[in-house]
This record gives sequence, structure tokens and C-alpha cells, in this order.
Amino acid sequence: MILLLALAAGCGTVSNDPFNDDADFLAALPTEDQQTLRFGEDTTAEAARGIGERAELVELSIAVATTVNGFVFGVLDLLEGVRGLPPASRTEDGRRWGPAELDCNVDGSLLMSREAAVYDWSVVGHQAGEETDATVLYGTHFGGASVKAGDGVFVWDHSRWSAWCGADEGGIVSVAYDNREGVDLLVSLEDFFRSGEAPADRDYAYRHTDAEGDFEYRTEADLDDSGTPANVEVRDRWVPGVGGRSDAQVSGGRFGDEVWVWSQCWGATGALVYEVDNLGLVEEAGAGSECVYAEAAGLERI
Amino acid sequence: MTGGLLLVAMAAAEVQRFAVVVGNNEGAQGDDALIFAEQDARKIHGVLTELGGVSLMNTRTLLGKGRGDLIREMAAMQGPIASAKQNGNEAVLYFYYSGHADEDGLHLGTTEVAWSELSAMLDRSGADVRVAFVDACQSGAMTRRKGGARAPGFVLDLEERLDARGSVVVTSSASDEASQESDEIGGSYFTHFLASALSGSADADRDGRVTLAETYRYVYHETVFRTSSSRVGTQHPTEASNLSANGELVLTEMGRSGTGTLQLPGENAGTFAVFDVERRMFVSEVEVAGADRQVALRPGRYLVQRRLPAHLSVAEVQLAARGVVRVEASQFRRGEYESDVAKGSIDATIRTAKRPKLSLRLNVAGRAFSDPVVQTAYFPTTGAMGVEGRFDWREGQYVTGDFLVGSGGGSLSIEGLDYPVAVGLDSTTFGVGAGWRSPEFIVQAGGGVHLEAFWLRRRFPDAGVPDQELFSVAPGLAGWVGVHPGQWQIDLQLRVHYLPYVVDGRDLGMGFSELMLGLGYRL
Repeated sequence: MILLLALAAGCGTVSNDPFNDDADFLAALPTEDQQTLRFGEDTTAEAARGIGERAELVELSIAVATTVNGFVFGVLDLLEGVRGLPPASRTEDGRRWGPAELDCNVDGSLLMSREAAVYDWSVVGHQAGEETDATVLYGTHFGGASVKAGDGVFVWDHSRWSAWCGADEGGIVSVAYDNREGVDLLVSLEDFFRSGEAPADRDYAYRHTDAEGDFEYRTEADLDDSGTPANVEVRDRWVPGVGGRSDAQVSGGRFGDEVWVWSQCWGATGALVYEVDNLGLVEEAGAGSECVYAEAAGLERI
Repeated sequence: MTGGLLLVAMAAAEVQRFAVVVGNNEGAQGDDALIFAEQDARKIHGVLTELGGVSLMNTRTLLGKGRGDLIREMAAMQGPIASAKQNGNEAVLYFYYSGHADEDGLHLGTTEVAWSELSAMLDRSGADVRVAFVDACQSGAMTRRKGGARAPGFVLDLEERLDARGSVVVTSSASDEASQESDEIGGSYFTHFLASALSGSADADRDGRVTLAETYRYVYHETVFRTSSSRVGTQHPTEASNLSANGELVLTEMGRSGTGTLQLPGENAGTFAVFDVERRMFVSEVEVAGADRQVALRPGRYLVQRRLPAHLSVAEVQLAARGVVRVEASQFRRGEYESDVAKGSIDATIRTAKRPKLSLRLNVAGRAFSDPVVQTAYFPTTGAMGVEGRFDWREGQYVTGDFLVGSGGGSLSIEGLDYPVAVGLDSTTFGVGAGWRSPEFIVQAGGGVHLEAFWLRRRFPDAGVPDQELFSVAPGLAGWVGVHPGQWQIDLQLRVHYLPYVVDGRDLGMGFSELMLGLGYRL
């Protein structure tokens, strides 16, 4: 009977651990849906000037968020390709995908290693004639309650990639993220430039939970339609489904050392409900009591 | 002068004898399987071919066969009979059946032949005279339907002109009676006394020939006498005839070439049973009272037994072809019932008959795990083929042994992976089972327990992961339903197994099921 029970309990080596590990490694890679700035996606107000129309600062932030998403998605596209493929080789704490031909005739590979819940990864590659691989994208992920619900950072060497592709572009893009509760992103562009632009630094901080959103950034814009761009710092805060407030501080350009502070409050659809400034460049409109956030706020994270 | 020429012409013609001998231990649903029916058929086959003038070429013996076989053989017999008649000969057809029957007809295993069909087949045979011996329960239904009367008592020798037309049916019991087998005599009472009669016991006038009338008288008397004290009740053989004859039909003749004669002297009175040692059966029972009696037997070794209250009195004789052995009282030796060779042989026959019947089947199966996650992420549904052996006992129990081998492929869906993982799955299983089945019928069903030892291997041709194996023993249940036309069996079987095995923290207790289609043959 004991023998029968022992036999019934069975013995063998059947396990999906190798594949579950593959899934863990893949979960440690950042994904586009986790790294997206979802600002203003649910706004529906018409773009025009005045109470009830879409707030201008909301429009500016949507445009900036779209640009940042473009940077990030461009980088993460490189990782999406490996998700549909089994790894080419495995070790207990390592995986390798590739080599496979990437854009710009680059033979690239994704290398991953794991130590406890910390995953290091890098995309390396070379073109024909290059003897050694160069790293174009790398990152570190710290697993949380699950591998996917963690935090980490990844860095994109835009100069390296542009050199392979023969493009007059460069700079470094780094993204620090935290997916443990909602989405928290800190995107930094260092000496980043596109063709014909001067290298510049840019920082974007974005945080979004079910209860609250916060987006802050620096950019250059001609907000007063003077024809001369000025330096703009914007802080957006919002409560999903209720409304929010955008506070801009504009300096430089035609303002010189003077600082123009312009605040707009908006409803759930992004429609303007109140605006005010310190220089009288805009006429105060609406009621301040309509603001979800009563006080203006400046940049805090960047 | 004219009459003399006619006699010469008639003498030139022959009477050719044909026989279809049928025995079937199996019956329809609800019939208990018989033990000696097929052996009885062999016994009568021997008597008819050795003493009855039926050549082996003109004999068809069907043991354990069904309706289709009987119809085929009866039809096949028409050709030789027609041929014999075209050559100016006359034909006698003997039909013997031992097996189950009811008021509607014969039960040939799970198939049936109506009494009217049997009568029609005999009539269509073309034989001038048809003689049927039917040893079956309620076989009197056949004679009752025929409604015939006893034939006149003239004698027609085996080689003489028949000058007779028609048919005679002798049955073992009346239409409302059971026919009985006896473990003591190793056969049915009716056939036992029919064989005894034909081998000489019924030769009342001691002329060396056994006629139909002598046979019937002997069989009727002995069967009624022997069964009168039986628990089932007295069995009354019946006879019906529409024979238009100018004489009596001789069925067997003593002293034919190839047989020997056993003489039992009249001074040693008593009832003697003759047991054929080689064929392990009683072949005759002879009553000796004052006058010598002769029994014609094929050459061989025989035990002549006289049963006394406390012991047996046994003489062993060797009989040669055309030889005559007279068994004197001095040749008999005391024998104990415990060491009775005949009884031992009969017991062996009974044991053999009661052994389970083996059927073999080829199974084609599909195997699926019950847990949907296990099915999609570990073991996809695969096919398998194998063989199964099943021993069926008469009482309805059965045991099985089987093995299946399978090989197939599919893909696994692993949570967190966007791509399917290609997997190959090989399996070998050995199983044993036991259960109960419904009574023998064309549609049968059964169910019981099943224990399966199985080995599974997963192969990952594209993933670079080593093969994985699993060995376990899974208890379960099995149920089947099938169509069993005669020896062939087509079964649909479902097995469900419990699998107390844990993979990656997931209990596979829900196990797996196998649905299989089997084509079987009962040996």
C-alpha cells in the first residue's frame, strides 16, 4: 500500500519553471503601456480661447506629453520585438535573445541577468566591420510585489544609435520609472538634439494614480503670441474625472528677468473654468472657487 | 421379370447422408451459458460419422457460431444434396442442435433463428428426408408447430432405397420445459441418451441396426426416467413427423468399417456407462439384463463403469477397428469415486468451460487533462493507440489489462509569454481494471475501476529546454458501452483517472480522461 501511494504520488521532472522564468525576465523589461504619459487623453473640450473652451496650458501639456511619449516609445520599440520570441539561450539567472538584425543594419542582442529580484539588461549590437558590441540601451529593474510591479531605470544612447544610422542627432535619454503604485516617470534628456537643433537638457516628471495626477516640465514656447519663445515651466495637477489646474511661469524671451505667472483651472473635459495672471496679459475669467486646486504650485521634482 | 429389373435399378442408386451439427454454449440475454452444448455437438458428430454413414465431407459442424454461419452452411449444403440427387441418389439430411432456445427459436449466442426459419431451411435443403434432433429448452415448440404424428415402423437400411419423403423432428423437451445438462454425465441428458442409443443401446431387436423409432423410444424413456428426480423437473422429449415412408429409417449400424464392438455379457446385469478416455466424454450408457448387449464405438481406450453405492466397478478396454471386445465380469476392478478418471475429466471440462473468456481489442484513444490550465500550459490533448485484453467470467465480472502508446504535439500557453511554446508529448501507459458488465446481448455496457501506471515525456523542440518526464500511478473509473455482434466487439470506453501529483504547485488531482474506440474479437 505504501509503495502504491508512493507511486501514485508520482515522480518526475515536469515543470514550467524555465518558461515561467522566461516570463519573469520579460516582465522585468519596461513596456510602452507602463511608460506612457497619459495626460489629457480624456479631455474633449474644443480647442479655442475662453471659458468653456479647452485651456491653453492643457493643450501645451498634451503636446509635450505626446513628444515625450514619442521619445520613450521609440526606445522601447527595440524591446517589443523580442517579446514574441523564445530566448536563444538560457542560464539559471540569465537569458539572451538574438543576435537578430535590427534597423540600420545592426546585429543586436538583448542580454539579461538576474540577482535576487534585480534584473540588469542591455541591448548591444554592432554593424558589419565592428569587432565588438556597443551598448545602445540598458537598464536595471527592481522587482516588487511581482516582477512587473517594480521600479527601475533605463538609458538610451541616442548618439550611438544615430551614428549607426548616419543621423545628425544625439544625446542621452534616461527614464526612471516606478510601477508599484500607478505610473511614476522621470524622463531626462541630456544634450539631446534632433537634426538642426542645438543640444539641450530637458526634464519631465509625471505621476499618475487613480486618485491624482501630476505633470511638470520645462520647455520653450510663445505663450503670449509675441513671436518670441520664452522659457516656460509648467506644473499640471488634476483629479481624474473631476478637473485640474495648470500653473505656468514664463521668463526670458521678451520677459527678460520678469516672471509671468499664469494659472488656468479646468474641468473634467479640459474646458477652462477659471484663469488669472500676474501681469494682466490675460483677463481674469471664471470663478476661482471652481478650481480643484486653490493654490498655484511650482516645479518640485525637476 | 419387370419387377426384378426395377429392383436392380433401385439397388444401383445410393442413399447419401448429410449432416449439419450445431453447438453453442452461449445464449441470448438472460441465458446462463451452457457447459456441454458444444461438446455434445462433437459427440453427435462422432456418432453420425462413425456409425451413421455420414461422410466427413458431407458434414458441417458449427461450434459457437451465430445465425449467419448457420444460414450460410445450410445454404452451402444444398449444392452437394442437389448433386447427389442429380446422380440418381437419394439424400437424408441430419440436423442436430445443442444450445439455448425459447418458444420463438434457437439462440445462437446473441443471435436468433426462429423455429419457422429453421423448418424452412430444412425444407429448402432438397433432402428427401430431413431428421432434426434439437436439444434445447422449450424445443418442443418446434414439434408443436409442426403438428406431426408418429411414423410407421418399417425398416429401411442405410444403403437401401429410402422410399420415404418428409421430415422428422425430435426434441429434447416439451414446449414448456427446460432441457438439462448434468455434471455427472458430462453433457445434456437428451444428447447423452441419443448418443448411447445411436451407438447401440437402443437396438432393442439386437439386429445390429438402430432405427429412428428405436432411438426415440430409448431416448424418451431414459430421459424421462433420469430427469424425473431432478430439481428442474422431468424432461419429455417429443417427436413429430410428416414422413411418408414404407419402412423405418435406420440411423446407425453396428460393425461398420472403422468401428469396433464392445460386448457386455448378459449374465453381468446392470447399467454400464462407457467413457471415451481420449475424448474425455461418456459416449454410451447400456442397460444389460439377461441378454448380451453390443455397443459400436470408434477405436480407442474406454472405461466401462458400473456405479455401485459405495464404489465404482471399472473395466478398462482397448478397442480396435473391426475388433470385438467382450467385457467379462472378471475384468472389472474396484474403483473409488474419489479417483474416478471420468469424473475428473468431466470436472476438468467444467473448469475449462467456466474459465473466463478472453477478448482482445485494438484501441484508439484521445487523452485530455481535466484542468483547463494543465491542458493549455502542461499537457495538451494527444492521441494514443494500444491493445487491451479482457477476461469475461460467465457471471458478469471482468478484468482487463491494457497498454497505450501515444505521441503527439501541440503548443503550451504560458502566462506572461506572448508566444506559444511548442511541445511534443510521448506517453506509455499500462493499466489493469476490473468491473461488471451487463448480460450477453448485442448491446452491452460495463463499468468498474481502473488503475493506470503511466509515463509521460515532454519534448521542447524549439525552446532549448531538456526533455521532462513524469511517472505515476493513477487510480480511476472506467465505463464502456459496445455493440457485440457475435465474436466481434466495438466498444466506446471512457476512463477518468485521479492524479495525486503536484506540478509547479498546481495539484493535478483532477487528473485526466481517456476516450477510446476499440475494435475487439472474442477468442
